[in-house]
Amino acid sequence: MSKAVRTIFFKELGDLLRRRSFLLLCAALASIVALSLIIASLNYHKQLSDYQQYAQTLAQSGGAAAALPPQLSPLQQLRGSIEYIEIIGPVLAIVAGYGIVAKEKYRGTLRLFFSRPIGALDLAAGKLAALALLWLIIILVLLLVMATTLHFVGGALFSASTIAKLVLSLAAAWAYLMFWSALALGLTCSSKHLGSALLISFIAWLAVVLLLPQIGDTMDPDNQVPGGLFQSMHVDKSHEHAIMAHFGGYESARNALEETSISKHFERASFAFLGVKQIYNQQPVGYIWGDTWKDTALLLTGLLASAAFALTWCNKRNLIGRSWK
Amino acid sequence: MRGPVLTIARQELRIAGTNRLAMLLSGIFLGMVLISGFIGWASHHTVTSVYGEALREGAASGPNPFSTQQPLDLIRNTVIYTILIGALSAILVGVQSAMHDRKAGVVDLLFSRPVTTRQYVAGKFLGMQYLLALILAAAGLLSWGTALFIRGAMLSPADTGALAAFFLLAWLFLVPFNMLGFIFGAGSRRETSALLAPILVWVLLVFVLPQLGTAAHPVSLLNPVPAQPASQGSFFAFNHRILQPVSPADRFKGASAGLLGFSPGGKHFETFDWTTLAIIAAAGFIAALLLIRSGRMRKPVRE
Repeated sequence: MSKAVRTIFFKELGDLLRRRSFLLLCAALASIVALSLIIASLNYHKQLSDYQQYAQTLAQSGGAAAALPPQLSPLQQLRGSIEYIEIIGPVLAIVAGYGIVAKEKYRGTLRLFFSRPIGALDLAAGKLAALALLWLIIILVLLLVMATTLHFVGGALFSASTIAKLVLSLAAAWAYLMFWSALALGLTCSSKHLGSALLISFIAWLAVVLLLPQIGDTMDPDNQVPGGLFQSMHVDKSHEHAIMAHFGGYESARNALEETSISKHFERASFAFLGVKQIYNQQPVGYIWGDTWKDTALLLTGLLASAAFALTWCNKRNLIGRSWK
Repeated sequence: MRGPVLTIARQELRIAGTNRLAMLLSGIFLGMVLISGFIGWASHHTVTSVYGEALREGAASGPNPFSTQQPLDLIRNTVIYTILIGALSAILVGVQSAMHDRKAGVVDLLFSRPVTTRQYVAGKFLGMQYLLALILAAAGLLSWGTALFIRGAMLSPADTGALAAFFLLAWLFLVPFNMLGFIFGAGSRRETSALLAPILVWVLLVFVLPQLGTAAHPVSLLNPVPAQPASQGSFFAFNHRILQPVSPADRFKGASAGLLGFSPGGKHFETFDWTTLAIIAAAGFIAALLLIRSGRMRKPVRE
């Protein structure tokens, strides 16, 4: 890291950590993540208490419970929290990425900055490094909030494997949030109008995070009828697979649509590590990685592409070579 | 009073017509309404083919599960697009409207004339609501045309009335979000805070509020059918009883399901949902009248 990059990095990090409104929004995200976890824990405990009551009533009448008690799988309770990071996290990431350039444009400090002898990529590299550390700090805070809530409210006990899975899913969250910050940084550098950069970033968020996965999900034939299409036709799983084999093209198109969204890759990777998808629940990390590495690879490719976009556009020619509004 | 209010409303419409981003958002919303029809058509076609295949393989018997489907069920996804794109667009229109006046110095000029803050807010409200109504009317026409294209038959007068009522309901749902954006646009010192704060409120209203009573996962709330309470007699059922009546997203989904005919109870009119949404919309306008101050609007906008 050159001296210029280091100087920009420390200056930007200090600025970001001093921005009260941004920190308040991060605190709001942490609160929503914790609240979602508390709701999941309460729901689990309610299910367990209902089961115990049912088993007790059966035992008193001389019977035995046929169903198994609900199993506490602590990491599965994080599903809602991860979904909040998936939905709200990018909004904060966009604001951080936008703000780090917008303030310079607004204050007119860029001309002064580029009058100094700095490399072509130093500005973008310093800003990206500051954003990377900022998100690492926020992710560590979220890790602490999740682990504490899981332990004290959910009654969860942690093993080394559980901690590793939690850390891996939050590492995916870091890559996902950095993707959005780098994208917003690049868009702000490349845009003539500051307001337009922010709005285009929000439109990208709307399309990628909310619309694409929603469209793919609603095109699932099984979601078209309340209670499920196949259940309503009394078709069992083996026949369901045989029937759906005739609709390979439709299913591929639906899946391809979902896969264009980076949010879906973040969701798939983190849900696999957390065991939200039942086939990965309680499985070793190596097994999950072997099955889902493509999602992590695509997430990292997205991050590299957005970082390259920011590095390409965040230069002297774009920032001071033309007027901005 | 009528003079300045109407002048401001007309000016608002003129500005909106030249605002490329507002037009882009409206285009996205209308595009999604069309896509909603396409999704309805693709799903309908696939489900019917799946049913045919199941019959051929002898795996199913009985009627097609879609045989009892109401004609307007085809556009059920528009409910979600209104909650997602419609509400966010309404917020952006509100924020942009106030921010434009502040950044362009219109506010200083305007309040040097005999115009009160309430007249300004009322004029802006009229202009923005007219714009939203135009977009929703276009969406209604598109939906009607999509239903005609997919079904190969015109909607009956009753269904056409229900479709019009649905877009009227959508307008009632969007008013408070538009006012929320306008209030924050008029009062925030930074443009980013003006955009972020109402988006955060939107997240709380659309995701967190329903979740407190249902324990549903946030992504599963992106479903046109209102979520049900987690379990009876529990903490969630209590929250559901208290919070769901005032949850705008749940009220909108409930009333829409009744109008479009995809609720378990079939087609019906939810008076309570309509009344609640009308009260929330009126509250949004009153809040704008009470909270917006010309002095605050005159303060410079920072990044």
